[in-house]
Order: sequence, then C-alpha cells, then structure tokens
Amino acid sequence: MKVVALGNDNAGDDGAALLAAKQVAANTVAASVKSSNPPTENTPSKSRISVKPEFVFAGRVGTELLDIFDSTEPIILLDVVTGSGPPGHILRLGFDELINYVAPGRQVSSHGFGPAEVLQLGQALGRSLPGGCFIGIEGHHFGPGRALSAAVNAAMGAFVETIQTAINEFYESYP
Amino acid sequence: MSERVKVYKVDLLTRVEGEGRFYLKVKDKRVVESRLNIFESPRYFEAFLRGRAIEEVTDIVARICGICPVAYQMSAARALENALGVVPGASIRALRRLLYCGEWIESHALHIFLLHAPDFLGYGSAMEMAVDHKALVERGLRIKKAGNALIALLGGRAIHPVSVRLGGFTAVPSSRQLADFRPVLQGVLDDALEAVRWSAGLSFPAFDQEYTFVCLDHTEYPLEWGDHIHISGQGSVPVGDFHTQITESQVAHSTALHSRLKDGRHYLCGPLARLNRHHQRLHPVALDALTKSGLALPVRNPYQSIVVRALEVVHALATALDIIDNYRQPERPFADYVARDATAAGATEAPRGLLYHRYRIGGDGLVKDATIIPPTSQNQAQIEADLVSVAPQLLALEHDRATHLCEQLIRSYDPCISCATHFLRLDIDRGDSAHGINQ
Repeated sequence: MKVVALGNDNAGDDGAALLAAKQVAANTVAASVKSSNPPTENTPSKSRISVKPEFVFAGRVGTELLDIFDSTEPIILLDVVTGSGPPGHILRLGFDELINYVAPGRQVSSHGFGPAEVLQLGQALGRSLPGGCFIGIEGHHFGPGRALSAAVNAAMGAFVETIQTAINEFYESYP
Repeated sequence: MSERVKVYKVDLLTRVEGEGRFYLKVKDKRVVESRLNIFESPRYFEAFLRGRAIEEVTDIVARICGICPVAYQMSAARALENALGVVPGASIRALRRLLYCGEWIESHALHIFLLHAPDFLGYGSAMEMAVDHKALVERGLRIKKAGNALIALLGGRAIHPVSVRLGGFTAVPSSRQLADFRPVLQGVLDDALEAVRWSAGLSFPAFDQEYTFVCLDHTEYPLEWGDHIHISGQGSVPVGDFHTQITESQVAHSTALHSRLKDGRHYLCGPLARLNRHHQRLHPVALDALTKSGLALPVRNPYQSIVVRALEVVHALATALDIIDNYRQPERPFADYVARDATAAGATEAPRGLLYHRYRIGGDGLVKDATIIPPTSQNQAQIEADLVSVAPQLLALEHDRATHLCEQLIRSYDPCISCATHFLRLDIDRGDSAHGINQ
C-alpha cells in the first residue's frame, strides 16, 4: 500500500496533505513499534512488505503520478482541493469518481497535470485505475509560507483520522 | 465597434509552464500594442539568497522550478565555483553533464509530446490526443520516465534533486550502478530517433524570422559547461562579462524583467540558438538524425523548435550512454574550497535556453548579492516581437484559428513562466464583440 501526498509545503494550505501524511507516518511508526507483531515464516514476503504503507511525499509531481499509479498495490492519494465545500471540508472519492472531479477540457498548465488529469491521461491510454482512494481537504489560503489557515488547521485532526481509517480499511481488505 | 481597431483576447494560455496573458491591439491593420503580461507575484529568490550560506544556494535555487531544477543547480554551482576558484575534475564534470542530460530528456519529452504535439495534431490537450495517438503519447512518457529516472539516480530524487553541491556531489554512483542503469536509456533511444522522424514530418506555419541568437560558446554542444556566450552577429564574450552586454528592465505589464542587448535588440536563446551555432558538435547519432530529418539550417522558424528539441533528446541520450560507458568513479565526490571575497558569474544551457547566475560572496561564506536571469525572461521581448510579426496572418483568420496560431507560437518557446516569475495569460482582442472579445 502506498500513501501518496501531493502539494507544496511552502504555499499555505497547499501543504496540508504533505503535513497530514507526515503525521500519519509518525503515527504508523509508533503503532508498529507498539504492536510489535513480527511476520512469521509462513507469511509471504510480498504481504509483509505490502501491508506497511509506503509514504511518498510527491509534492507537485505532474505526469510522474502516472508511474506512481502504475501499481498493483492500493494507493491512498492525498491532496488539497478547492470547490468541494467550506475550508477544511474533507473529501473522500474513489478513483473512478476522482477522474470526473474536474470537467474534461483545456489543460491549463503542465504544472496542472493534477490527479484527475493524470487519471484521464491514463484512461485514454487504456491503463487501469489503481485500487485505493483519494482523500482531499478543502484549502483556503495558498500564499507563501508554511502556516495553514485557521479552518484547515482545525480540520487536520479529522483529515489525519480519515487517512488512518482508509489505511486500516485497505489493510484489512488487502489479500 | 470600429473596424479600424481590433483587439485580440484570450483569457488563458494553456500548455505552458505557469500562467500569463497576451494582449494584441491592431489599428488600421497595424499592431499598436503587443504585451506578454506576466503578472504573478515576484518570487524574490534573489532576495532570499542574500545572507544565506553559499552551501545552501544549490538547494534553494532548485526550488525555482520543478521542471528544470538541475539547470538552476548547475548555473549556481558554476558561478559560485568560479568565485571560489574551484574547477571540478573530469569525472565530476561528466557526472554533472549526465545529470543535466536527464533534465533535457524529461523536460523536452514533456514539451514535445504532452504540450506541443496537440497543437500540430489538432487537439486541445494531451488527454484528448492520447485517445487517438496512444503510441505517440506512450513513447513520450517512456522517454520522460527514463529522464526522470536518470535524475533520481544521480540527484537522489526526480523532482528538486538534492545531490549537487559546491565542488561536486554529496555522493557519486559506482560504475556498476551506472552500468546497471544503461539499458533504461538505451531502451528509449529508438523512441527518440522516431520522435525526430515524426516531428520533422509535421506541417509548420511559414514564419521564418531574423533572430539574434544567444547561447554558450567555446564548448562542446552546450549544456553544463562553457566560459563564453555567443551573440550572433556580434561575437563571443566571456560569461563574466555577459551582464555588460544586456540590460534588464521592468515593464509595467510584467513581473518578470525584460532582457535586451545594450543596443535595444531583443534576442532568442534556447534550442534554435544552440543548434544553429553548434550543430556540428551534436553527438554523431544526433547529427545523423539531423541529416536524415531534412531540417534546413539555420532554423529560423520557431514552430520547428519541436524538431530541434527531439534532436536534443537524441543528443542527450547518446551523450549519456557515452558518459556511462567511460565513467570512472572519482576518488572524492567533491573538491574542497575556502570561502573568499569574490564576485563571479556562471551560465549553463537550461532546456529553454541560457540560464545566467552571478553572485557576490564574502569571506564569511555568505551570499552578499545574487542575480539570476532565466531563459524565459530573456526570450520575453522576442516573444512579443514575434507576436507582432504574426499579426498580419491573424487578421485574415477566424478568431479561434488566430488564437490558436498565437498560442502555438508562444508554446514554441516552451516558456517557463514559473521561472521568469509565474503567470501567463493570452489575450487576443480584435475589438469585435461578435467574437466574444474584450472578455
């Protein structure tokens, strides 16, 4: 399983997904140390590796996301969104929903190869959608600096919890 | 609305790096105003650098652009090493050239296949184009992936690599690591050669222009090295004197500085400038591809830059393979230096053209002053001039077709507004409300 975080941690709320992923990674490390449940010899090595989330702090990754999506493992993709609701609103979508989250049309910028555009490109090329889900948080302030807006900062706990819940769900359903 | 005045306007120029606007006003069939508006907030990197340790510079400037971070690192390293009196050894230079090849490969592949190709094939985006031209897009993605992998191998990661430091690298790969990677590059060389054949067969609008070309000189096909800068029709000047040959000025409609030669001429840097000056220095594989492409030299039609970029991808791949084959791991990944009071410049060839850095540093190891002149800033005045030149063709076209021709022309330069500062939007306003103008 991969947890992939997008955004810019020097652009206000745009760094919220990266920040949340760091927090979940820290929690995951703490939990794994606490549970200390070593794999047995009967556990296939692939399963032992795959059930541990791999955290990818991808930033503003563009079309390289297509390579990250080229995976048989579930992917939990984290990003900051606009237009989903009030600042701090948390949005969870399947990738089949995310692909239609932005209207197909003119591609604004090569920096604008966001998750939906990359999924659209992958679909046009006949590639399968990855397993997993997209979790976004509505941003408000995208100016310079690392500080989050008050609304997004207040919602970070719920954002982290939503991510952790998704990890646990895919962990349990992963063969 | 008077027929004497036509103002062309489109709200958003697509498929370029960053965002901005272009405004073109025609009166009595004569262009009276041409503006490339860049109005995103200035990014202040030169100010950020003042007071920072010289060791931090390569990592800070890498953040200027996610597409060409290596170019910023290399130009900064060249300038600071010149200031420090450090000359990297042959192996370090080769590794830097190899890393830079990765950036040319990924940046050019992005532009050729995902940003510029839709113009020639009649699509609004790469996503739409991919439905009908799957093999073409897959070819581009394979090439781009190989370039990114090369950057990740040498730079630690594909985006904003972290291994470049003053005097060399923080760590260098073993010969075995590079040899193991070789098939990745070899595997896309045929894709790149096919890209040359494909792009050379495209149909290009007739638009030959008289340019003043500027690129690095006294070097191999220019990339990470070169101590002189060539200005066509004028000759070569030492890199350290380049700032005396140009003026940078603020214009009201742009947050990016305009660069012009001292005599007021605008000029063009980038692939066309490099190829026209140095085509004989292309790798033999790329030179052969150039010959077979039938591309006539000198190239003075900016729409043909897609072919030149494809040739430079071949050159970068073939050069990278040679470097890997001849690589000897240096005993030390970097050379030592002692900070001193000094001022020096350095320049390298970013995918989009000449990238010039100049630093004043102190014996305390801190940056006192920094000047960074990115290629898009240098090309900005030329782009405006070209849009004036293309205006007569626009007047005879439908609004949508005229708009597209302008966008395609601007995209020919692969402008990186993110580097120049950020925002580019194209307005073509022909003063005719029936076409939805003056929006």
